[in-house]
Amino acid sequence: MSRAYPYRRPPADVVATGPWLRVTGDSLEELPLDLPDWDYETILHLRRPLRVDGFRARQACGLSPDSAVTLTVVWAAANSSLRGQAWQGSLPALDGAELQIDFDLPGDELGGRLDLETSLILRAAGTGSSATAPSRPGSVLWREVHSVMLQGDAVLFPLAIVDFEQVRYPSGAAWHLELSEDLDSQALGSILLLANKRRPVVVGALENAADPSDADRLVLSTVQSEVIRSLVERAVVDKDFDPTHDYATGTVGALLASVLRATFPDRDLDALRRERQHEPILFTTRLQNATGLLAGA
Amino acid sequence: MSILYPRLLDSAATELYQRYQHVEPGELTNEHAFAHPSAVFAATGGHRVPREHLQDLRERVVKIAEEAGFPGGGRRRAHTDFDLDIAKLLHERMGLVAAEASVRPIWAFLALVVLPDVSFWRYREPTGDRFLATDITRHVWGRLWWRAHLTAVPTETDPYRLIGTFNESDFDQIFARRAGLGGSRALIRALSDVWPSVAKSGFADRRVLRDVLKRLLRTAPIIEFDALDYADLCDEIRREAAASVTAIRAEDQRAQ
Repeated sequence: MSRAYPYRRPPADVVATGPWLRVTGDSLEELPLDLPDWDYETILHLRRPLRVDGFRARQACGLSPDSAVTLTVVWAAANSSLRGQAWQGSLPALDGAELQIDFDLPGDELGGRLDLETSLILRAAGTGSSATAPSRPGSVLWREVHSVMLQGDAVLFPLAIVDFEQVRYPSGAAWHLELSEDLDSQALGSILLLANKRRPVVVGALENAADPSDADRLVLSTVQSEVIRSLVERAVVDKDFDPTHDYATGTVGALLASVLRATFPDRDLDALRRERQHEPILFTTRLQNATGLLAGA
Repeated sequence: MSILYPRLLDSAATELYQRYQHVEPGELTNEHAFAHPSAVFAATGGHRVPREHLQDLRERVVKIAEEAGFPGGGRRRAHTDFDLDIAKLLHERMGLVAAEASVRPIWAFLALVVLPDVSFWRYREPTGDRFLATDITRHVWGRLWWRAHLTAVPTETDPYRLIGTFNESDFDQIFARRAGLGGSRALIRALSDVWPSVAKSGFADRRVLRDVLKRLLRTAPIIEFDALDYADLCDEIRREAAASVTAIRAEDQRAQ
């Protein structure tokens, strides 16, 4: 749904964005959507070329040419729920201005999904601006968001390798998915995949997940399928879970709703609940199919 | 350098919480530990906290607690000062990065394994969310780390000068709305900075604050607070506060 702004805004094509680029030493590469090797001590050096029609943007908003407008980048991190300014530069009142965003982003406030929000922001309206033009400093004239996943899957399903006898789970089990009972709690920190130290085949496969052998792939496919099965089972069994409820972003409830949608896009929860109760074997088979158990092995 | 803390599994945390509720805080001193069989490290980047680090942290917390009356009953004022001192200590000493500080089971570990005595002293009749991994905005230690983090100004001589601007319940109002306010540390710092000088025209601080927060939340989608320089940001907050006072005055006049 588009947001209603109480002021005039320019058409989207006043900004022509180039790709986000990552600078590493002397090399420059397009920023991938996933950065599995990122950790808190990583400093991301990012660049982005843009061409902006600063005169046309002002004119379309009803702002006079002497209005102060900035090109601003704000970072927002899903794990910490924090955001902050990454870069800012003045936008000249010229059309076709070639600009380059360039900044270092330290890792200590980041984690999970990183949103890079590029915006044109009003700093001060000039004399003679229209009454329908934005007037408050900070007004967003144009915005575009690019998202990158830091740490890959590790952040969604952090892994801990433990001795199940010590943590009081059945000592012969291979793994266990810790999941908070509170549907409104944040999924981060509520989910933890525990692997049993006493099952070296599983521990080895999870440790080699970045570069698995064929044998590791079989184990990983099984674990992945079983994790999804656990989440779907939880959604199906938990009477308090309602996929139509508007769970806040990042909560356990939102995660379950998303997993359910992705796994069974064409079936509603009541149908799944009935099937699990009356035809549990078929339900399990359906889950195998939906999760692609051993499909790539 | 980011330091990783162990996560106390839910089942163990609930068991400890239920057991400790019936024990005097002074007696819980014997129960403290620096490891627990159900406390596990996630395999993510960072350095696992060494035992000596946890020992040092506990000693420092206990010392501050003793100055506030631990293990006896502290006065309300003593608890306020205690909270502020602990907030600074945890933020300075734990070596946590923000994403790790969002992981609630690490706070359950601190509350129930490392500091059970001081935790139950601070909240004599606690609800579970003070100790368990359910809600950081309510957690005995987690909320203090975040209070320090959201108000700290690392570039200043006293980086924690803004930490005491709001009392506990008023800061809770802000913290609970953190996501809605866009998680902007700049906004929360500026709010803490200008608040004492905001003219509230005799209306209760909390009433004005609630209204200001409501206005900021409404504005956040169309005003990018993090794009403003500090002076402009402070002006924006003063402007919202003035609008709040006007609205509250009008509301009272209508009610008469």
